[in-house]
Amino acid sequence: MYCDDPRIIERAEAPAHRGRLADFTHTASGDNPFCGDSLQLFFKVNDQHGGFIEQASFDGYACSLCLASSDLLLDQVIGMPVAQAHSLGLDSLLLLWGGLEVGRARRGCVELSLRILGRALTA
Amino acid sequence: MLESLFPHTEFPILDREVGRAGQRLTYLDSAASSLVPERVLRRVVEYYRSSCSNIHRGAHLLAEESTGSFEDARSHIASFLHVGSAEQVIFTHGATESLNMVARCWAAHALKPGDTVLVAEDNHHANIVCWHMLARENGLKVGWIPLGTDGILDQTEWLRLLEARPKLVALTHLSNVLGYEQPGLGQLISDARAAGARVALDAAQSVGHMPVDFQGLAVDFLAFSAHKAMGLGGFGVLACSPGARGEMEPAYGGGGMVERVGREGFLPADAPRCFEAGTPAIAAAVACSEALALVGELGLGLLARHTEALCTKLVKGLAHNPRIAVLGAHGLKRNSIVSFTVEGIHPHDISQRLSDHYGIAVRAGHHCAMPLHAALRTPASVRASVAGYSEGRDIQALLDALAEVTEGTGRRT
Repeated sequence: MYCDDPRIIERAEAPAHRGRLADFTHTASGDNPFCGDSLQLFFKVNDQHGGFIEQASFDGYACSLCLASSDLLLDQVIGMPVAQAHSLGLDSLLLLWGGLEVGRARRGCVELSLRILGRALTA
Repeated sequence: MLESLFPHTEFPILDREVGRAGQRLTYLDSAASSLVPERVLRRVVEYYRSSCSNIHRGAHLLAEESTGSFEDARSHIASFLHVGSAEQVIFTHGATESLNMVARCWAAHALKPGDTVLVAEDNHHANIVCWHMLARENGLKVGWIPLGTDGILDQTEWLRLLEARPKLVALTHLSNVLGYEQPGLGQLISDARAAGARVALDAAQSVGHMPVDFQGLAVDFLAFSAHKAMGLGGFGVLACSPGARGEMEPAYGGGGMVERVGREGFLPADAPRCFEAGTPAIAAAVACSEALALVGELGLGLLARHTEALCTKLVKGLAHNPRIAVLGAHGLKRNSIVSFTVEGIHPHDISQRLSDHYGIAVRAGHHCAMPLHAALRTPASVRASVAGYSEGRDIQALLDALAEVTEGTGRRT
């Protein structure tokens, strides 16, 4: 699977989790200076059961790969324990795509939402 | 026999005739800069011919290849040095910049006025001057681990110095003058850590010459230069422990090291990029990786045994010359460096005569190690240094030339 796969383009054009949560408990933003991507992620964390992510969303300006990967990531983490969400890495996200092949130069586009997630849930 | 460990064709520079009478080049200055093998040069040319592009800045194919080669080099160097993860490897312009970054990026933030940095007297200036500079600016105290006239660090004084609870101990892995690792270096590092100090190790003369295990050494910072390990000039590495890296702040600002910049300020990128402002020496990183791959394939143990055998041959040969005194402790294995003085002849005069009349390249002077020379009570020395391409006949050529020069029968300048 490559960066211009139709599944990526479709998700980037119609993301399910784009927007700003009204009642978020955690948020953070981040940038990928090499391509200009700039996102903010919002999480509503429920403290029951040791803490899990009840709702999540993102907003900002980003390339298709970054938008789609962010949307896919949030799809996965909603309902997930916070500790488990923290443990997700680049490889997890590439696997979620079903084996996305991404070169070094575009890796940052996939990683941006992961970095912001870590930042938001740590804060 | 002690023949080159590499095919002769890898180093065509060794076919040069350089003496006044057209003598074959005998290169015994590898500790200053090693020769660069054809395989490394081919890799550099291949990079420029096929992938020449900036890194982390474009999505086109060349940028992708260039970024891949650069980051692959980082991963390979991390693995080669047993660093743990590529994120702990910061690319610099050389060991000197690496050690200055320890001072600027770590000590300037982690230490406070009055804190002590202990510097071993056998260090290269690269691991000395940066501490003097910081002491002048930030009020740090610089203490010295003294070197005896026998070329061994004073262990008794070391234990006394530790009572001052130093925050950093600056050591060298292999002295660039004496050519050996201090006896008990591992214990020194262990003592330093037990006292709560971080350890900065100058490995410029060991990486690429012998097995170097960052995690095994248990240091916090390790620096080396590619040009001393068959790579290109202008490129080096600073490997950091995760704990030490977490206490560092960027020292240089610019492109590539930020995540966000605005009128109000900037947010640095994650390490190691936040320490690598501007376009790095991409081809030199690729070349360094190739050079280390080459010695890795050869076997670092074999390489070390070869250069040690050459040094042993030289030390034994010099022992027959009553006008020559080898610097440092007797009986210790010298990895690739032997320094000596010649009674009545200045090291520069020896060096010039060896070059002009015998085609032999050695280094003369204090070798950027003035405190070491002061401790050994000699102002300067001649240094002969070898690498995997050096041969027994190179050592014999030096011994024969020195015999002529010191007997007064040598060819005159």
